[in-house]
Amino acid sequence: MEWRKVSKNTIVLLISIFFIQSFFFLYSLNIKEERSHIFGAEPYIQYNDEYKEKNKQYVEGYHKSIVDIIERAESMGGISIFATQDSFSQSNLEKTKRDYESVLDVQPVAFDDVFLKHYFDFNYINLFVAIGCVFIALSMVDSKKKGLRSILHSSCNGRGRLVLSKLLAMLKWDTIIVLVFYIGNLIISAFKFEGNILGCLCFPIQSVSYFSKFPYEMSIGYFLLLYLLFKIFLAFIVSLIAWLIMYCIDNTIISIGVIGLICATMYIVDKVIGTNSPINHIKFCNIWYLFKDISVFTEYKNLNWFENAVNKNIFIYFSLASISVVCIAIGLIVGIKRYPCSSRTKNNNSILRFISKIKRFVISLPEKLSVGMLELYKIFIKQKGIIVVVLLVGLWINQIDLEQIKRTKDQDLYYDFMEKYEGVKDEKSEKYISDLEKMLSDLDLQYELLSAEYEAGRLTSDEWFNWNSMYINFESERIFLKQIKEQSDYLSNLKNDKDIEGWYVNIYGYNHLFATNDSYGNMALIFSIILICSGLFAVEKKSGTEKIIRGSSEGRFKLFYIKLKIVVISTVFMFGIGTVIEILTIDKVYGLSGWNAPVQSIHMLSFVPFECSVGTFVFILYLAKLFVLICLTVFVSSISIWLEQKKTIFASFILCAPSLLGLVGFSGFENYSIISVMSIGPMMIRLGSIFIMLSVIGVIGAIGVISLLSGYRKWCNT
Amino acid sequence: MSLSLYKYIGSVIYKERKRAMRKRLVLGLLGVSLLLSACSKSDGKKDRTEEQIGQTFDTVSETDLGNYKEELLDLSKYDIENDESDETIDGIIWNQMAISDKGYYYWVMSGQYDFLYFMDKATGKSVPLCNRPDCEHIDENCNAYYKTVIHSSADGVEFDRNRVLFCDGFVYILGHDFDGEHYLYRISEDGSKQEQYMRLYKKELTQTGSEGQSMTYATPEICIHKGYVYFIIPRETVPTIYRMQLGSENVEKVFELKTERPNLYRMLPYGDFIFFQAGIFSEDYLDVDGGIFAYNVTNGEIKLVKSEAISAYKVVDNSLYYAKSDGVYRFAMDGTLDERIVEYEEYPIFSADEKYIYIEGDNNIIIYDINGDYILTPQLSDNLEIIDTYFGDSKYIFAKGYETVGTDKKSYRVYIDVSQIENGKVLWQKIN
Repeated sequence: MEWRKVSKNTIVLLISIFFIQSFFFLYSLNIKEERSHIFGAEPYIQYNDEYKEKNKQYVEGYHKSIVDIIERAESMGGISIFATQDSFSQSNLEKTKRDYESVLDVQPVAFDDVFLKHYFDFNYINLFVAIGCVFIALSMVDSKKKGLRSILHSSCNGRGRLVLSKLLAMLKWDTIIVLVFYIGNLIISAFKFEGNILGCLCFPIQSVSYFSKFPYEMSIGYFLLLYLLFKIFLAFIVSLIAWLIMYCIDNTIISIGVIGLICATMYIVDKVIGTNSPINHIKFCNIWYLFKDISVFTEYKNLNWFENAVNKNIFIYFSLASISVVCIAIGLIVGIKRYPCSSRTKNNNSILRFISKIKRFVISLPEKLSVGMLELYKIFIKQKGIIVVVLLVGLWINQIDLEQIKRTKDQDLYYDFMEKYEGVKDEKSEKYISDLEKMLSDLDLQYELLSAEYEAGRLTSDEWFNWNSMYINFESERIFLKQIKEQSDYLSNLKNDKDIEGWYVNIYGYNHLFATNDSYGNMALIFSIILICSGLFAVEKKSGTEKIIRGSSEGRFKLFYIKLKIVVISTVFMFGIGTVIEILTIDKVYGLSGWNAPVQSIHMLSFVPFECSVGTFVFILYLAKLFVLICLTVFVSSISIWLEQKKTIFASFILCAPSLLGLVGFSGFENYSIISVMSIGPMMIRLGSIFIMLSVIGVIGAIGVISLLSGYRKWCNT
Repeated sequence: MSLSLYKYIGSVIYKERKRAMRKRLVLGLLGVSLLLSACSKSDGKKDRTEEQIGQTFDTVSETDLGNYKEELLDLSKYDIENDESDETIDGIIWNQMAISDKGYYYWVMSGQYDFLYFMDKATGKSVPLCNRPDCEHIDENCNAYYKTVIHSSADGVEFDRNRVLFCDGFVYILGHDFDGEHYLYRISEDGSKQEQYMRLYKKELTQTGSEGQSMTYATPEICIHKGYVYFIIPRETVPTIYRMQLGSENVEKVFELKTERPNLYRMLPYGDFIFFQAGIFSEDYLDVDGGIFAYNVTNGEIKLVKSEAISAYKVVDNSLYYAKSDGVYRFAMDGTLDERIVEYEEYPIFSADEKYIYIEGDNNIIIYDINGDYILTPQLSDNLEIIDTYFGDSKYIFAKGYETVGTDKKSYRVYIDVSQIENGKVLWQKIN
């Protein structure tokens, strides 16, 4: 019966996700079609004469392509590096030959498979299914919230059997989600492209060109069945992992943090480990790889297992089975062995006694705190917000790379010039440039003369070679001269056009400060703020003190401001640390100087319409960024007045969804990303206007104010 | 600067293309780093180089080349012939190809993709370095394909298609990312495993100008020998030979040339030594004063082996063959001999093995015996033109050739079979 305990809200949420993903599916098809029409770069598959011809060619050439593979395997056996006895390569050749021999008799059929191709191309569905699975897992961890754990644990069916029934319930729900989502999309695709699903079920799967390297003989119908079973298994594992984490860690923030960390690790593993890395087994067994597209079925790959070639899918199935067995075992052990209450018997162990003392001190601590400090304690100690801050700061510190990069010679010249002549253009700096220009000009003339001398035979070959090599090696000076002349010309134009006395400023550091977008750092900061603020008011709901607090005037008004003040200060603190690290790193690596120069001295900031120094402008820019963050803080805090902590987190993450999709490679979402707004410098430079940026910030400010007022009304209304 | 002057220089450079190639070899421009006294850096700035690497240095440096006196280097006592060296001593120049006991590794540019290829010594067959029979070697899914364009993305790697090395059963190639991190990549000899093996150094690749950023990349000089990778970072203000143990993170400084107008280039591993050339340009840049040095990898000693030798060189059987402006000289390292053995009108680009000396001539190579007697010039088919010689080992000599068919020119790797020289008839053949 556990599967019926999933709340109505969760079911509504799942239905919503299904419709959202269906909308995305159709939307992505339209976008693809539009892009292919406008840019012609990304071909949009359509069943027309050209496609029919290509499909026909593929079907006719399929048998030959398999024969070619077998012949290649045989001929490669004669190459020494592939023919080493008992080596992986030799085993791979033999296995590949055997595998493809089994599909020699397959006769693909040419049919309108466009709907199937679009169906398999839509990879977002995996993401939506994964989100659905996490929601199901969330709904299965509720015994603590309802205060039922002690009662359940003491009953005979409330331990291992309960865990098993929860897992079965998850499996049932995951099956429903997978069937609804994947079959739903297949039907949508068939309707959209007028595909005949039933008519093609008996054709070999190799009839769809995506599966040309699929080395097993089976029909499309049979493949789809296996495909769905595989997806159900995968969905169950996602739910299982999410459930286990939340079940073992009794803290929503930390659980979600750990789940996020696992997702990030899987993504990084997929990105970092190449398909031919010595540890590529990890890549192929990574759940991200299995979720990201259908390459698990379309890509033929054998992995090295002690110099034997083993198909990657064997590893995948084995690892998935192992993960599920281990997770179920851990879940059962935790369910059976973890007691809801700790023993009160006297503890003879001195370490445990010491820990117990500390625990007692921590428990008694809140009684001695002021209201403000108590709120601080609630956020950072009770809700483990301190871990979020420590992780964030740790991440920033880990990202610090103070190693001075090796500069090219022209960069050395540039840095030297700026060290000597930073400031307004003066005679000395212009003399340096004109001297260098003259020297290079003389050198060019000398080249002309000497080459004539050499042509006439008056210069020996070694003299000419030596001189010529020296001439070429002045390339760095030429690059530097071009760069500094451009900057000099720009400053002259600035003076003439805008009457601004620009400075020579080293632009390398500022280029990194203004134009580089630290997407991952910003994302981590936003996540941290969401996690910290999500429980600000919701925690009172959870502990049942909300009504008592709101019953008193101090609890309504004073506490509202104290709570907000604390999270805003926390945001400022995190922002401050991040900013200091960022500026110090750039200063150390690239050098930042010329803070007093007019901001227009930097070419990429020439559009700034008012007079101020570079330092002031940097200050304003960071202030604007802080403002955006404070608005986000207020927004998330206000949501927590209405919703529970988990729901607040998920509601807030909707803000980050486009950013996340953009970061993991789904192009098109970057424009709607909060990171774009967070990265004010790059955004402003991209837009080339300060007013558009101010408008965006204004909108965000308005959202912040509205959410503050709404939250105030909700909290302070008796 | 007037445009016409550049045009003129361009035309001169075009005319001098062949000579410029020779010049590249003569002075090792890839390793050259020059300083103008007007633009030289202060000591404080120079010290920054050590901070830049930020790692341990075992400094064996010398600022004054004049301190070095020519010393005899008797290689016979090192028992090089029986040295179970971890690499094949080859005659390939600038690491354009790599030689293993089973065959040769080299880059092939094919349309928009670059592939690593392998030529089998046993069969003479050439195949992409991909062990998958199901691969058609036409796109980025091929094991032999190495991504080369990173300028539009921040997470890619560009591989240096001019360098390939082989050592101890592994192929090594160089690559760098957008941030200027330079890495050594290791590939198993059958191409089935590839990994980013070790980080070498970081060097800024982007050039910031008012029009935005542009890329600058120069190929480092590199060799791998007895478990260490040796490299010279291009365009360094103080040219330096660094070394790192394979797989380690520690950088050691082997030799640095702290001087005005420095020139450090052409490393050549042989037995217990890394030979290299170091020199100083004269003030008018019309002459260079330099020689061939030998760094003993076992005790860290550096000796000047031959002064006034600034061009191509080769060590064979305890003898140093080196090029001067009038031909190839042989210098016996026990001090008994230093004589011209091949007369040539200018600095020759050459290689040598136990039997022959190969000199790059106009559109072909000229083969002499080890005593300098002319043997033959390999035959060329009518439409084939040799444009760049890589040399090779005692089995094959390689080159890059252009075949003209109608108005189209197509480039090929070509080779000659050294064993055919004794028969008196050698033909350039395309690698199949």
